[in-house]
Amino acid sequence: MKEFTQQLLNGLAIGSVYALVAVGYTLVFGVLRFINFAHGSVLTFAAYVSLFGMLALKLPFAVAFGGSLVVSGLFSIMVERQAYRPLRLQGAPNLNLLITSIGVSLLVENAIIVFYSADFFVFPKVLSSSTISLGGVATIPPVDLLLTGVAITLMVLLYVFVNYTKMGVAIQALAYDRDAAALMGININLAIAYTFFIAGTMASAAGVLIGMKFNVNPYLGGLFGVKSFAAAVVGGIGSIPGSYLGGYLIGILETMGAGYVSSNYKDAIAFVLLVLILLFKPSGLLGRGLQEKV
Amino acid sequence: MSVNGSKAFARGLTTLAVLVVGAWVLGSLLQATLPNYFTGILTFVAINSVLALSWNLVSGFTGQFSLGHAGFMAVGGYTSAILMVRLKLPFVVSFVSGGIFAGVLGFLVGFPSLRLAGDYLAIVTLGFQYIMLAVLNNTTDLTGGGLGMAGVPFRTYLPVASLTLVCTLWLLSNVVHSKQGRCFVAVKEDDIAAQSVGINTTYYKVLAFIISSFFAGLGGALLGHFTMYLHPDIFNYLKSIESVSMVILGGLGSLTGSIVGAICITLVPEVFRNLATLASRIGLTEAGDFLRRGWMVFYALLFLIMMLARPKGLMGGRELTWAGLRSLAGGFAGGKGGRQWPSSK
Repeated sequence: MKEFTQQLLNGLAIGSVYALVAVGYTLVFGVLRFINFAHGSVLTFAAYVSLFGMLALKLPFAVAFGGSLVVSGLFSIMVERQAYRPLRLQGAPNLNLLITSIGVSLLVENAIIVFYSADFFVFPKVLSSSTISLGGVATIPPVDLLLTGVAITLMVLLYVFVNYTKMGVAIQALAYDRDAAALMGININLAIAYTFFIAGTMASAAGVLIGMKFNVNPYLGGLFGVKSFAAAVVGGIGSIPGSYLGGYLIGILETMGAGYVSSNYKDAIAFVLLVLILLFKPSGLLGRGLQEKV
Repeated sequence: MSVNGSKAFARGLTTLAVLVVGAWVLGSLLQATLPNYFTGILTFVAINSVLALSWNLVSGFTGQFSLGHAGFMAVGGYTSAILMVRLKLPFVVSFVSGGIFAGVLGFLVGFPSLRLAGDYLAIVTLGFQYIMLAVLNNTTDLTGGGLGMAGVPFRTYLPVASLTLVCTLWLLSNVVHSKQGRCFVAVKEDDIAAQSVGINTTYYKVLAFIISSFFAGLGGALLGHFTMYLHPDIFNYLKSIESVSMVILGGLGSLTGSIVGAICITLVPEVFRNLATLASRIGLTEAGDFLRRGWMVFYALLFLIMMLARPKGLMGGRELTWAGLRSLAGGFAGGKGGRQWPSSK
């Protein structure tokens, strides 16, 4: 029982990361209908921005963290402006957007390697490394507590933003039907910029926190990004609660699988789950079926 | 078979025979005369061309984006190596078995995922690749796991590689120009319209995927028998991206374009490496270092510029043909046959 609770807590922490990144994939897929492979590299970028802030500029952690949220959000908008918008205005097929996003992710990773370093960095010590005991049932490292707390706060904020603000409703309308939304007087480009900003910020929070939990390296976003995308599909791409559900599901199953079955196949669990879900419920757990238009 | 059909069949076989003999003779000649460095590059060009062609069939012609071709390469490479080393099978048998096994896995991956709409295939194939790597890393008894598999027999001589390339090109160009190939293109252009004229879209998507993974497996087997060493990390995400970039550069939906792209992408790191050596030799150590590390940035920029400025690639879906080359030469010479090349799409 003790081990089970412990695994559950670990799964919740890592699931928070997947959920934070997955929601970015869902938002971007919702408005632009393509898989943004560069999303994972925003996560890497953010980890390096906060690392740079703390090591080179000697900023306190809170400032570096907050700064990286804003910088990565703006970076995400810039990627959309420079790389995706020209293609979108040309009316290029989604395949081209997908390939461009792969190019962006390659560029970010390799620019970091060339201009910064390919080394693994350990994040400066901010929180104490002694674990907090939860009444003898389980222990939790402070970084996991911070991770889960930040993730849940951001999720609640996003929920409020999407449902109770004018821009949030505009983004929903855009996801529903981009042309009709434009006809209703919604500023499409502004709404897309907002979407990318939010997606970038949430990925950034995930990036800084897993950088603290593990280490910072140029390939940080790769596997985390792909697994988070799997989480978004499992939960139902296009559904915000679905991506939270998918993220936590994959996080928990992965730690449980590593703990009880075999840690060798840890990385494969997310994808096996993905294939199974796609076989039996192609639209994902909470997703609506995509209506194909003729 | 009608008289016309059998005539065309005989002509096709003659073409194949000429190509096979030509590739073998040319490959052997080059192998015998050129220094090892250049034959090595040429062999890599041939291997990469096979991979680019295989990826082009599924994505350029059928419009299904696959990001897991390195997974199929790994299957082909490991199968061929294991059959040859463990079961002592002859090279040709294990080589083809590698392709067939990759094709079977292609069916297992493609069948469930190709019934879905949208870009899901990209993520499922990427997932397949990670699953494949996890399996290869953990079946230590069979594949050597994380230590890699050394001692794969060297069989990819230049003639073998060029022969495989020629056969792949011939087979794929026949597939593309057949009834099935037309159906692939119909599925790519608009799969709902294709379905409504009676094309079984799922069948053709899966068929294209199986053929493509078969050739990716052959490419992987060639690679394994060339480097004589297999390791799960060779077949990572970047390896998949490499075949994508070759096709993007050459032109989606152009078979000869894939080969052009493969040549360019294979040469980029070589050019950078030589420039770096040159720079270090004349005393520009820092510039040399930068070039050595910076080629991947150049590679990524190439990817982006290509997509933004010329999304159709160098060849843009057109083929390089003998007739086209001849009229191009005529055009340069200002001769009578000098018409716009290529004359049609």
